[in-house]
Amino acid sequence: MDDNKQGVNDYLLRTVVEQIKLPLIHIARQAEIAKDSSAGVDPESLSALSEMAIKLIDSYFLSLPDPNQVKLALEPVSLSSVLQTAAYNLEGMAKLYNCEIQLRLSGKFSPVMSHRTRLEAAFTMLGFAFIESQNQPENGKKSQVYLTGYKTAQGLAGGVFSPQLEMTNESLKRGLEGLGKQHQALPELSQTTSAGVFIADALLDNLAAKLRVAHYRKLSGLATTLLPSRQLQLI
Amino acid sequence: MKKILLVEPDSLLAKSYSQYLINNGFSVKVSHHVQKAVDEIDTELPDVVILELQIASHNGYEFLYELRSYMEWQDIPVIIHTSVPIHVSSMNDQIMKQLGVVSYLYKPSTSLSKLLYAVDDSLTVSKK
Amino acid sequence: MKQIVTSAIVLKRINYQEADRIITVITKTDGKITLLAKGVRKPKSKLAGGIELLSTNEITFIAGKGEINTLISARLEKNYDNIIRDLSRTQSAYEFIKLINKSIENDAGMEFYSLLESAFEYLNDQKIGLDVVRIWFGLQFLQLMGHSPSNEILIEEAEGSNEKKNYRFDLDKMSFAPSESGSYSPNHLKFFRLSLINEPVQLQRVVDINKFLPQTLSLVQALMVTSGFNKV
Repeated sequence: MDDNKQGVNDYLLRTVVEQIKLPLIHIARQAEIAKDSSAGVDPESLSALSEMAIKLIDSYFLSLPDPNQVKLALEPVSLSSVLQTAAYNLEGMAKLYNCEIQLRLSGKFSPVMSHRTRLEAAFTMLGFAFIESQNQPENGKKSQVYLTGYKTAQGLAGGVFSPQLEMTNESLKRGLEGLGKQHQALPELSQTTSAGVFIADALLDNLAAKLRVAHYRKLSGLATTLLPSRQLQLI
Repeated sequence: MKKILLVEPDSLLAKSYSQYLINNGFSVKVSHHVQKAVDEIDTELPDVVILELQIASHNGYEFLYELRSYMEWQDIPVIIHTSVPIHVSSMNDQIMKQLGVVSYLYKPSTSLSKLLYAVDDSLTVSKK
Repeated sequence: MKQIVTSAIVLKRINYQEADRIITVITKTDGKITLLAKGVRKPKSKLAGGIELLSTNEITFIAGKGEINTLISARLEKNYDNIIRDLSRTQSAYEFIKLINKSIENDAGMEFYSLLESAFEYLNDQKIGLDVVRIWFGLQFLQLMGHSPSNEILIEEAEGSNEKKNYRFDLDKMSFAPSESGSYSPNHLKFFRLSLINEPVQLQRVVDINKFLPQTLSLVQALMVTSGFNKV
């Protein structure tokens, strides 16, 4: 692995380690409250928090280059199915953060040539980053995070969106440059290290896809464009 | 009943901390953002502020400097309770004194009881 | 009544009466002024959130009869959002603001607007080291306040004295002096001179800059304190 990539991986690891503190602090403090009072530990929140931590670690490992340099085997993947899986993965955390995950799929999509597991992990990680950053609406309603797929001139776009995000591609680029070096690389998105965004970026990079700021129907988010599978179009 | 303003951007953590502090006899208001925190103090003066440094859009330092620029808010003790280790935060004794920070607590190694102790301690010191 | 439009950076805000704020700013054209922002603490005020810290703002105000002018409108010109990504840079930005606010009188100090604006630009640029900005700011500030260190020895060294000398800094005379037991090498002096006359972008390019930064920063801090100011 060249030195530059190793450096980026080290910064990503640092970011991930910082991020994992959060669910572990949650769990520790909840256990403390349970010890101190008659209130038991909430099993749902424990489960959601531990699942998040596990997925974070797992997705980070998935984003690492193969030490044996084995080429990634791509396959036709249904974007709708990937987004549905990601939405399912995010349910527990969304409930904890009083957030509603909505799936928005505009029309029928051809399969894309990609790697299912990595793509699912990328959208799940983006989703985590968005959920933890949500402001609670003042009217007591739930905040909304949208897993969205839609067609563009370049291909199929898939991403995570919210009504609240105010970010530009310039600030995303600065955030990526600040990976592991700044406490808050994406302050427009979140108070945390936003490790989910950087893991997603690394996973998509493995798939030769690029993460960018996108706008779709009054929503802003982070998305990527995937090319439809030409093989299947020929059938 | 003593009033705490908890400036904590993570809604889940805010719930845990405020629940614990309420159970221990405090009244707690939560702000997830710096500007809302300033507005909150404007509405009702807290007896102590518990502050996370890492906040989206505007960080905890911005809040601190903003807070201390108001003459009538000089005496409100601030407890920093953050995920940022002190050695990377550029906070030192001199700046803490200047900004009225009575303690710096690192979240991963601060139990709820330790936080409570710091709150009680800050109220005792501010009485003097 | 004549409306004045200019660029401004907020130095301080205080509450006034039920719904107002008094804001001290440093402006491009009028130096340090005080503005009354009426009704700004009301939720629906059009000024609420319009005048931001750590940013340059275009303000419109009406000159008051006394010291306080009235703010009519404010529009964000540039937000230095890279500064808040880093707690140390945020802290330095505020220390610069405090220093300028404390050191200049009302209706004076237009030159400090440029200094602060430039400082924000440099703090906002992650490629420029924080200590480089702090050194540059400290020396520029001292020069503007008339407390600049003496150039004599610096010029001699720059002209290429071949002797291997050591130097110490005499805080009373505000200049370097040769001294066998001194801790500053000729290269330190060269770096110090560069720091006086160059922008941080150029300074950052100095080879082996990390060799010079700690001592230079300590010296600048000492100069600030000796001249009666807080450290940067």
